[in-house]
Amino acid sequence: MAGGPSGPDRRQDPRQRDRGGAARRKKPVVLLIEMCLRHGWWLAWALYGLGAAWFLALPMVARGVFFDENALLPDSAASGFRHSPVLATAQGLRSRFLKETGGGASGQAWLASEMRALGLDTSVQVLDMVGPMVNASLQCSNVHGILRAPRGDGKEGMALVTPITLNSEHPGAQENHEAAALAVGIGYGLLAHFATVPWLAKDVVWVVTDGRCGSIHSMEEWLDAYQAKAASAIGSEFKRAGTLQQAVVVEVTQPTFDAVEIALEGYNGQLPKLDMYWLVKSLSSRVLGVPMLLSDRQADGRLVGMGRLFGSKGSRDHGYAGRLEAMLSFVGRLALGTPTGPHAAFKPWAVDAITMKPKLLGPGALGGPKSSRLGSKGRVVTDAGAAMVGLAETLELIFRSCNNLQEKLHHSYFMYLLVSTDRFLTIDLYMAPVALFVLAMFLRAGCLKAQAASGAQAPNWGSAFSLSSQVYCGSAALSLALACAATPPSLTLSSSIGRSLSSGAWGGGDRALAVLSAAVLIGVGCFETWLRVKSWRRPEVRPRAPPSAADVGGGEAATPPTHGAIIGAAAATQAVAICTAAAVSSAIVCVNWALAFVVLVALTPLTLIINPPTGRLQRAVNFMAILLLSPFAMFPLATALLTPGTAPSDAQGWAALAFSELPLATRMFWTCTYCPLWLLSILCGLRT
Amino acid sequence: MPGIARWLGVLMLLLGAPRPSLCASMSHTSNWAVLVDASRYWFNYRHAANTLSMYRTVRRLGVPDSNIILMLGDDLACDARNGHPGRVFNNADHSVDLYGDSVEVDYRGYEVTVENFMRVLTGRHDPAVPRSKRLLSDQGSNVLVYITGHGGNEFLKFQDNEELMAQDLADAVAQMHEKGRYREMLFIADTCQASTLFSRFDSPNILTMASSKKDESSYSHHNDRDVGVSVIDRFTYHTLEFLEQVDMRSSVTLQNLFGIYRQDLLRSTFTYQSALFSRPLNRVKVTEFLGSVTVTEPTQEVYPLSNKERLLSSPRLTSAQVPPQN
Repeated sequence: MAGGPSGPDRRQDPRQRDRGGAARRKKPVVLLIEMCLRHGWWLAWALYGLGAAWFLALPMVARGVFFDENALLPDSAASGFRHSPVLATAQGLRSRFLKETGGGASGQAWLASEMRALGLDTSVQVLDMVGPMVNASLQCSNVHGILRAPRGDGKEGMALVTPITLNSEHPGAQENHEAAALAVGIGYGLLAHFATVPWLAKDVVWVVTDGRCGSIHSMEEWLDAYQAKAASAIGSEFKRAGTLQQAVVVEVTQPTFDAVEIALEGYNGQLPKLDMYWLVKSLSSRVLGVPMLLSDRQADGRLVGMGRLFGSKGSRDHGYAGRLEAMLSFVGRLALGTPTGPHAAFKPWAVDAITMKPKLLGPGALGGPKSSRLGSKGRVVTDAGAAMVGLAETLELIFRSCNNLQEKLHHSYFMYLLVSTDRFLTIDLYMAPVALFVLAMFLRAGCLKAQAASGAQAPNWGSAFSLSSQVYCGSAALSLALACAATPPSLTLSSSIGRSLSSGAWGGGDRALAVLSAAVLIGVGCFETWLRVKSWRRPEVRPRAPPSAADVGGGEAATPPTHGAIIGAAAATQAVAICTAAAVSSAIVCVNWALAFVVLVALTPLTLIINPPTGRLQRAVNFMAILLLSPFAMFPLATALLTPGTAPSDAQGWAALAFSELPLATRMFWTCTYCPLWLLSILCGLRT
Repeated sequence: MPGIARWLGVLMLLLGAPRPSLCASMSHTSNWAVLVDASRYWFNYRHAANTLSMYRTVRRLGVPDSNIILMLGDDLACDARNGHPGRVFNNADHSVDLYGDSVEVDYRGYEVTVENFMRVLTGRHDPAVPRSKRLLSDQGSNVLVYITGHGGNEFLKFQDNEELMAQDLADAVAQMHEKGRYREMLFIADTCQASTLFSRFDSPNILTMASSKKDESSYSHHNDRDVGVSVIDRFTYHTLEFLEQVDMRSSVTLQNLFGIYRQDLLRSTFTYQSALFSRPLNRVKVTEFLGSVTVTEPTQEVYPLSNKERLLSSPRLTSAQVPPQN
């Protein structure tokens, strides 16, 4: 019989009848989806468990690091530095530097004159620092010299960067001075040697950046000038060497060393190519004979990660505990998005760069004093002169390999996880847990929507808060699309935004885009909150007239909504919120995988545990989940587990870490995505 | 009887049966060599060294430059990364400079393409291509083709950019046979999976030598720590070691050459295909392919010049003073 629905139990409209008739001929895909939605809650938990188990199993399936680019020809040539006549000159320069420079700006000027005497095209860049954090009387300057390859075409260059800090008033100035002398000796000796070799095909740029203004910041300023980012830099006295293809930063902080740390992480988890890492690691290991470390150490050599609970030695431990600890701390550093060395400044300019940090850790730092396990690697390079020769020899071989390349590294992974210094995971392996988490969230959202659909069969709600399905779907889709679009720009720009924040000078476009992205993300959260709050307002109960013939067209008499309808509305808003969270997390995966992973590990259980509160038990469970998975609990826990070295000791420190020391991307994500969703979970989970 | 013979002949032509090997019965009148280095870039230094070593060898054994087509994919002698500019070595002791002043490279750099290689083999060139770049072989020529580079299953990489397929090579050789551009051919390949490159040949009088078989790589011999790169491949190294004892008058046979290749020396399996070759290998001298045949007839007679040529050859008259030829 034709006609609209006239009561809650009548399901006689033609569409229903057709659907019932077609039930016998449902496609297998539809049946599968319906089965998934029926058991969705268990299935989502299973997916989450599978993802977590996959992640924990990853350290054991990691493969050994290998050279992917054939053109590198690593260690094919013999180093000539040790027997070169420039060795004596370099040693002389090192001692002259110690004698004649007493700190302050005179060091840079002296260096520039020595570079000119060597025959390099030299330039000095004075950094103008603005902002409250900088001492106004401090003037930093970067010095660089270019050695032109005599038979090269001058179109490509390789960069050697040695940051030095000459601070006469600072405590530890003597050690800084000696370290600076070592760095300068390495650079001078290497460039002088390259001036005599016949195999140089690319120009070599030696950059001495000023560490007093921040080694990363001064590197960025130098690169901006080199790439002529500001129009005023073109045509100035700043000498250039063609396209920079590779760069090695040698950050020397002590005059002797017994281990070398290799820092990989850049902004937002960007990494240099794996071949670059392996080149530096394998050559340093062979030439210097000291242990190689990842950035999982504090300055005194103690472990940063949670592995010390299990007695692991960090990245040098090849057991499961060591690999897991190394992997977790690696993921933590990627998620944090803070660069670990000046090489991070090169990545936005498509230059493969890496930082080497020779360190003196002391005898007990790496698993006991001179244990027999260290073997020949238990060396301490005690003499600054020997340190200079060893490092220069290593760098000569590294640069010779980079010289062999045609332009840049054409092969090689740039997305990977290191589980130790010589084992890694490719992206196809570590992307799976995130995909499973996101799938679990979408499945949960689908179940909730199905629940909402079945619950909201009740017609005749007040038009005040009943939404037709088209408007509902449209608004949900629009909010998802906006959320997805807003996230990547806010993260990709965060490096430049972060720099602008630190120097106090906002670029107009950067600021506008950051504000827009934040506004959109927060706006989406507000919109979903509004949806939720709106569904709380129910119309008053009014007596209902019996249906007459005139009401056949679908009377809108108000009836009290059934319990199912209320739960349905709650489930619907929750579904939209979960969809948004999953979509935003997927968008973030494309920018910073580790950040998405760390947040999803907490967010997925939150969405799975919170059910529309049908009773006191459910409400209690929701409350506990909201408490345990709140940002106030998750943030300290994540910091403690992944990067305990950065954990502050008091509330003020936490506030500082959360609001100023974290990169902008991480901050934006926590405040604009995780917090609104957590708040929505409160709204969905605690009140019907 | 003649009628039957005629019908048999027609039938054979119709069925496309291979003609009897007329070529082998022709006398051997010349030697040609096509030497190809299909790789470019500094890390493929050893391929150029391989090819140049074979070039020096065939020249030493008598093949003149006019009969050699040398194709080098990259100029490594003048690469900025070469610490010995203008020189290419095939041994870490730097005993022989393969490049020097007397090398004649016919196809250089980006001219080394699959198309040009096929044109050289088939002889189908643009009219403007000079004689020095053409393979002017005929039915009496023994042709040596030596190829090196990076190869795979039934292909060879040219310049990291394109591939030469085994079927195309076989078709080119079939064309050569149709056109009578060779008497006998020896193919040598020093690449990975080298024997697969020759797996489609079905023309007569072809002999192939390959440094490795399918799913096997061919390896470099040693690294030169001064130049900073591997300078020679194993197969070519051992071949050259053998050929050092061969000179123009040598009667060493191919059987002797094939006998030196061992699995432990090459770290790959040397493969040869002689099914299409009519003569037994112990009767074929190495110099028949790597050396040169020149028939010299000393004579007392003067070569007959025309009147104009005689006058022109005199140094006192210019062409303006020569009376017009009748």
